[in-house]
Amino acid sequence: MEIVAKISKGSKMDQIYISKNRIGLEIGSYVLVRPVEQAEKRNDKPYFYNINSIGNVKLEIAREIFDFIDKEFGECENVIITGSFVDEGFGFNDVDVLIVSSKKVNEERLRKKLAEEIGIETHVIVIDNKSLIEGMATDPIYQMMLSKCIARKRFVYKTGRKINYKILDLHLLKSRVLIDSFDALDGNEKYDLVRNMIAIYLFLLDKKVSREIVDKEIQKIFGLENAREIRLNMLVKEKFLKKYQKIYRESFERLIRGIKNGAKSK
Amino acid sequence: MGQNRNKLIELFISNVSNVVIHRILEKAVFGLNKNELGEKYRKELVNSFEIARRYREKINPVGNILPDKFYVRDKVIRKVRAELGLRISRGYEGIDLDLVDGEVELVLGEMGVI
Repeated sequence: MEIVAKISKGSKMDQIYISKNRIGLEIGSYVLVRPVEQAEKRNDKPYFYNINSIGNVKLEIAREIFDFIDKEFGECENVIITGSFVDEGFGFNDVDVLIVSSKKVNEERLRKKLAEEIGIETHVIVIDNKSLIEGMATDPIYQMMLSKCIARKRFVYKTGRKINYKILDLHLLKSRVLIDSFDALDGNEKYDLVRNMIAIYLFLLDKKVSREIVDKEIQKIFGLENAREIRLNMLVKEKFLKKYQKIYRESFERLIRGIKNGAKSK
Repeated sequence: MGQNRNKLIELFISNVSNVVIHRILEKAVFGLNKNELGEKYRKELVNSFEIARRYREKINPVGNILPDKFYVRDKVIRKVRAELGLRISRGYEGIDLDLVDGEVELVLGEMGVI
């Protein structure tokens, strides 16, 4: 965390006042005080993973996010920006920001401050390195999210795949809402549930999981020109649900077989 | 209107059943711990609880206990038992069916049904 503050004159000692409303710089911690002009210029070139191009506006937003995290959160192992923000165009709903750190913070408070700072809704997740590696190995959603991202620092998260069928059964169950309540959901909600199911389906088939691969599979399975049709709520209910239920059942059968065989990893 | 209400109640029952199934399976997998890792990325996924609440808000009387509370409760219990029973019959171990009635009461209480 960095704060720019002014030295004020005191009677016996001069002082620097800082706001009580801050994340980090706890009472009793030691800090370094130096003139702003001497602040080191840090390397602010981010690293891009599977991003072919990104506009200047988005790049500027990414930099603002990194700067904000540096300022408010302080030292962390990495900051990763992912989700629909890193896709082409401006069709994103919010920005997913993953902070890799073992520091305990109030994610909601950080999210609100970041949203105020950049003027865009954000989804902030703070996760320690060990959990992130565990997530990458066991959860297709983690693999999908990190397949395309902008990172503050270079990273290599190559992990073996471990399948925990019971956990995946729980994750798959979330996508069942679409079968029971198709009409109650908007396009974005539908898309997220479809994507969750297809990522699990591909993971169980031992296939690679990335945002592009999942979208292509969605298009192939449901006969869509573009997965965006789901977001736009343009689906033909009966036709779509028939295919959706088939994939759901297939995935569930694989999970149940896996659970029965007691295979927790492969 | 009557038919519409019945349909809403059935949709509500499906979603409440899902909530209870999820909670019981979560206990079977994680015990008293929370599934934090998996939930971190999925917490923005719309869930059955949220959808059940949307339906509940359309079922009269909205602010009061439902007159059909026993029908709703019994049907949710049957659905949850059937779904969990399917898993148990296929070799899923660690599911505690004794939790069903209590969890159903709890969720229906949270929804203002009973």
